[in-house]
Amino acid sequence: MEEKPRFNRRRLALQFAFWFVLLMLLSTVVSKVINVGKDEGQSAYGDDWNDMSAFRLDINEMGIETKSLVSSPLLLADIEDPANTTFIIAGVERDTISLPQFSSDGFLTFASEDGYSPAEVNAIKEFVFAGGDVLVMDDFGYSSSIAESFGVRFKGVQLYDTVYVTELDYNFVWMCVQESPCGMDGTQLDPNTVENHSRWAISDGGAHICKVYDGRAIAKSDAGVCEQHWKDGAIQYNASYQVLLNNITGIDILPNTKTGMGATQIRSVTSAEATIDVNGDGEIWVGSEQNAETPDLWGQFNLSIEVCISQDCNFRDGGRITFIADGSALINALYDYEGYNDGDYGKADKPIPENDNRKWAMDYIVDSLVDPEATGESADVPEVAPNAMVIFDESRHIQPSIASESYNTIYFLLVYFTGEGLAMLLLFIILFITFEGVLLKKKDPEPWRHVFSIIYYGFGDANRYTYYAKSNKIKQVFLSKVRNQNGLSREEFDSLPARDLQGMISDPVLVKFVFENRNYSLEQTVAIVKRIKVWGRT
Amino acid sequence: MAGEVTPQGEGARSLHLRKLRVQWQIVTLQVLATLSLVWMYMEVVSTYVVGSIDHTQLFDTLESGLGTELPLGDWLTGGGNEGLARFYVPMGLGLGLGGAMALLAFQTPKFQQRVKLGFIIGLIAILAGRFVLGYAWQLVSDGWSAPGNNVLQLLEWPLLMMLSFIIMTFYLLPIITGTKGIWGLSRRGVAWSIGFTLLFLGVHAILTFPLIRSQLGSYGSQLTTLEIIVSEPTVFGLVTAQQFSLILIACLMMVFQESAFGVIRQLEYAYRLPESCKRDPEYVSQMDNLLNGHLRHTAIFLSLTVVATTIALGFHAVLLDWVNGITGSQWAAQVGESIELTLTYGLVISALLFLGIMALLRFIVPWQRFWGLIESSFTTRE
Amino acid sequence: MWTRKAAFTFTGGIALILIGMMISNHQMMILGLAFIAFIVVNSWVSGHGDVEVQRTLSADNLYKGDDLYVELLVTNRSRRKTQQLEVYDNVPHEMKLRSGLNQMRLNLKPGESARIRYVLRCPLRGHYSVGPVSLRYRNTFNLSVDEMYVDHHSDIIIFPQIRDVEEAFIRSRTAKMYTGATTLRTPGPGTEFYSLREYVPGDPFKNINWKAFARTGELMINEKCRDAVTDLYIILDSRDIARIGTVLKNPLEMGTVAAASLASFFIQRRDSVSLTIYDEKLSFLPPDTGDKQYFKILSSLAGVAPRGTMPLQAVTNSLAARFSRGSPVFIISSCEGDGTVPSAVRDLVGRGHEVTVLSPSSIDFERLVSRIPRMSYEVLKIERQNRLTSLAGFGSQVIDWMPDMDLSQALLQVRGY
Repeated sequence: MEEKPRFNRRRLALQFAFWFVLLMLLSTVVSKVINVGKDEGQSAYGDDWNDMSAFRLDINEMGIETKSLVSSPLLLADIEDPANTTFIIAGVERDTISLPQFSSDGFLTFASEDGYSPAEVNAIKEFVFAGGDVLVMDDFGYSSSIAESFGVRFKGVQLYDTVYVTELDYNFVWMCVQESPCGMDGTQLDPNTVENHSRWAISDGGAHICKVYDGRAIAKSDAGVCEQHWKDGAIQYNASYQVLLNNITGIDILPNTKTGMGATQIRSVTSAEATIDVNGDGEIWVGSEQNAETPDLWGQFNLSIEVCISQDCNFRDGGRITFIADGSALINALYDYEGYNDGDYGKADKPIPENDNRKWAMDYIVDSLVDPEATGESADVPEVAPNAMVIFDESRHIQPSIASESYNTIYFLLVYFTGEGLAMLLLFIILFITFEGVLLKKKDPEPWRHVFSIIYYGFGDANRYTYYAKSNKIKQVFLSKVRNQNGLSREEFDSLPARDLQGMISDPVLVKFVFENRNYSLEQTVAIVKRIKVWGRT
Repeated sequence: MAGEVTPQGEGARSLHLRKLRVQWQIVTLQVLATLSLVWMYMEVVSTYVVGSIDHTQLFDTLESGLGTELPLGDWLTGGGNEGLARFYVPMGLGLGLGGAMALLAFQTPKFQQRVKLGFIIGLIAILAGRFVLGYAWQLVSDGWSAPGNNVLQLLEWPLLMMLSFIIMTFYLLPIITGTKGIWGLSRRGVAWSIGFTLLFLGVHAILTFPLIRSQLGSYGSQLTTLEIIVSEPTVFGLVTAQQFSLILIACLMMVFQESAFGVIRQLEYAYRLPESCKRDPEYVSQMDNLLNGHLRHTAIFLSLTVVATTIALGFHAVLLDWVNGITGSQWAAQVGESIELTLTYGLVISALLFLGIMALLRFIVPWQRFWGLIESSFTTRE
Repeated sequence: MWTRKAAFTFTGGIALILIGMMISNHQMMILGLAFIAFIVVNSWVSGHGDVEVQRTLSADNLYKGDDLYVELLVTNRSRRKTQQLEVYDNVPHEMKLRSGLNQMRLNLKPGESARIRYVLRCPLRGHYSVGPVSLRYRNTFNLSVDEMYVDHHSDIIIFPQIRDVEEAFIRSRTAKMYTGATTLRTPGPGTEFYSLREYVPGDPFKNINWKAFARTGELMINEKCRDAVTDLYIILDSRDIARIGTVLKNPLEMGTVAAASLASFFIQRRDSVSLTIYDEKLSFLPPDTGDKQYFKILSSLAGVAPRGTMPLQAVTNSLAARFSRGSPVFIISSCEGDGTVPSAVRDLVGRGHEVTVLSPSSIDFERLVSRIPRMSYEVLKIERQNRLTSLAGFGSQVIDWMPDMDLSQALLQVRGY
């Protein structure tokens, strides 16, 4: 009886181990890709204090279309009118998914840079070259790859400055958007140190459109994009900006980098007494040189840098990227401080002081998206370009739910596989293999048909044919015939004397054949067989 | 179980090809295939060709380039007309040519050979007849010499004529091969027609790819590109008119293919039946059932395909409304405004999601029972 | 199950969507979507094989070479259409389709029936089964295919052909063996009265002698005399070696025809016939007469297949005790590859049986399928003649049956060598 199969522990353990390892690997990959729940904010579509909904609504009110980008900046390549589009990156909260791709040199690489893959950085650069404006606000996030491609670098560690909001804490730092640093007068910002924007306020090609119309008497309805500067029947452009930042870092200009850009200009700096906590231990130890004892830095650092295609960064040519050293510069709490203090975004611990964040942001948008056809000669202040659009990068924001995260990941994969060179190649190969697979493996059932077939193997043993042609066998057969013919038993026949047998055969040829052992030719054998055949018939 | 077995019967009707070919279901399917072919062709032509790369423009370019009038008259080529009207006469010619080829396919091989031979001889006569006569006259009158210019000029007209015909045939290839396929019961003809249309769409798609289009310079800018996603949906509030036109092209292609192949498949089955079965009333009545079923399914399923594709393309709006309504979340807002939706990624994802849900519904909603209920209410139990 | 077309449409649809995205072409994407929508829509409705099938055959058993009329009634008992359904009746490949077709493409309405009629020719004897009925639902646009079957079988037995041998026996020189029916004074099924005996449970009521019952008060039974004179024993050689030759002409095939014809002839004469078939084992049908026995013999012969190498001596040894004394024995064997044939025949003759050896000439059958060198053939033939001569020498009647010889003709050849 067949033995019943035994309970195979070894096999079971192996299977368990296999699935366990697979699950571990999968969960590791998934946990890298999917990062749910840590609602860190800076989303233009969230209403929390640390989101940017107020900013987005203001843009909408200006008649500018806002869009989100949830998959990958690779899509910027498909924007039809980059010159009238502004791409806003606020806080790069997550790294890119490391997928293989072609580097700019044409080599195969895995995206190792922070935040954005080479193809994505390339798409952003192309976007800027095509006249688009980009605003990158980040502090400790993953925006280094994009910054470095424009010749600057986020320090990525916290910066402390003496110019901060004393009623809050040292994390709330003032950024005066001007060439020289502003200073403090006791516990307040010294108004005497506040100056104007180093580009917008200068009447040259790079001047802000509101600067162009500054002082012109215009009805409020005709104030167009400069409505916020309209006062007492005229445009009164004030180019000083005290922007409140929270938890900031510094931005360095990388010397001698070839970015293909026309100008790299510093728009804002810290005071000369600013410090950077390089090792992030929360303490500041500075000395004349940076070493293990005094690892931190001290001095003046950049807070905002603008990199433009044109030398004067004018709005007609566009193609500018602005870096701000704080990802939260435009969050609701700072941007809409009045609403925040009133409790619109939840209970406010401490009131946020009055600031120019909204003013700066609106002027930035105006500078970016004002109709490029405007020459400054028209009586009315121009409006924004008819197809102006602001795109918020939501692809690097952590999503609040698994559904949204999955949806965005599908988007990302789809965009990646249909937008990135290597992925497209891979996709083509996969499609090709799939088609081949279908072609080879997928078989339709055969049509039914009755086949009449009688397969029959009725062959005898062909090996015996040669045996029956041998003279010994022929002799044996003949002797049997002789025995039968004479009605002898086997024993009687065997004991028969040779002479009697010869007498029985009586044919001399056959007698010779029986009694002489010699070789016969084929013809002779045939003749003998014929004789045997007719033998005994008479 | 042994019992009385009657031999196969013989009815008034039979499944012989010559009888089946005029049966109303077969003819209806063929007419449907022809109509969808023509409609599809017109949709393709009006979307991509007319006013951009149509044959009249090519003729105009040729005429201005060669400095001579092409022998085909405007009434024949559709030149001088505007829009789709440029294609009406050529399309009629294409249908006629395809039909004639189909008709020829059913003649005896001998007759076919004669017609082909006649065509070739005619072609040679038109092409070289006047030239040969002219040259012969020159040889007679002037003695042995190379053909003179005036003799060589005799070749110009036939060559231009041939060129014009070749261009027309090239433009009308889907119509000619399609008609031949439908009425001449040729799978190859139908496949050529569809293949050629797909090839055209593929080549057009590659040429209008921004990267390649920019390389083509002024030629590229002549090609029609589709800007269809941005505008407001007007057809049933789901898709734009241009999207619907593209859906129509896709679905008409399927109607054409399925009706034409369906006819061929059913006739092939009937043709292969033994003689006794062709006359057997049982086979005849089942053939009726098969053809009726085919007609019904062609009408219902392909209409449903149009509806399903249309809804699928408009589904993203519904999906976002749902998500917004259910969650009111930040995600719904950001996805609703996402550029991916504008750039079709979201559109496709939600369309596939819709189709996926519809496919899965098969396991939840008892379509079969539902369908059976409808069917049994229409048919009486025998 | 998806067909190749559906798989292509689906992968083509996905490919068109992805490539459309790559090159920002809406037509491609929409074409792809339409392809997938087409598949989705088509997946909603499928046909079914929920049909009732009833097969009627013109006969349950028939003779080799006869025609079999088959009618398959397919009825849709469900409440919805079957949609395009292919019905195929699985016919054994040994049968030839003479007219009609064993399949039909149909679309039955609820309650509707369709009849598939066809005629089969059965050139080979054997036990066969027609069925099951295969069903294949195919989507109108050939996108999906589902295969099912209805497990409905009809069994049929194809008997060997019966040859008329009466003339051969009338004209036979050795008529002694074939004396015809005379009454044996032994009890058994017959017509003449033999004796009266007491009733035993199981005896048929019709045999009760009611007069005797009235007289004695006890149930008495009329016993009849056995009618048959002869218990004819037919021994058929069905060893593997009997297969040599063509499908229709080989020793076994000829042997079955001979056995069936002999059985038919003798049973018609109300003799008892017994059939013994030996191949790898021995199967013995005790002697009996009547239609039932005739059917049993034909059924056994229908199922005979060449196999095994049982020697004849083993057969005769094990059956010797069962053979009625002096009864004729018919051995149908090529006598090839079995050295025990002479001794077996000698033993049978020794026990007083009249032995007739009907021996299909194996080497001549072999010649129909193989090219035997002339000389080898002659030697083989001489060897066979020797064997037959020795059998005749033991007192048996020997018939050397050539392939092209009719059975009755062969029977006339009976001779003692």
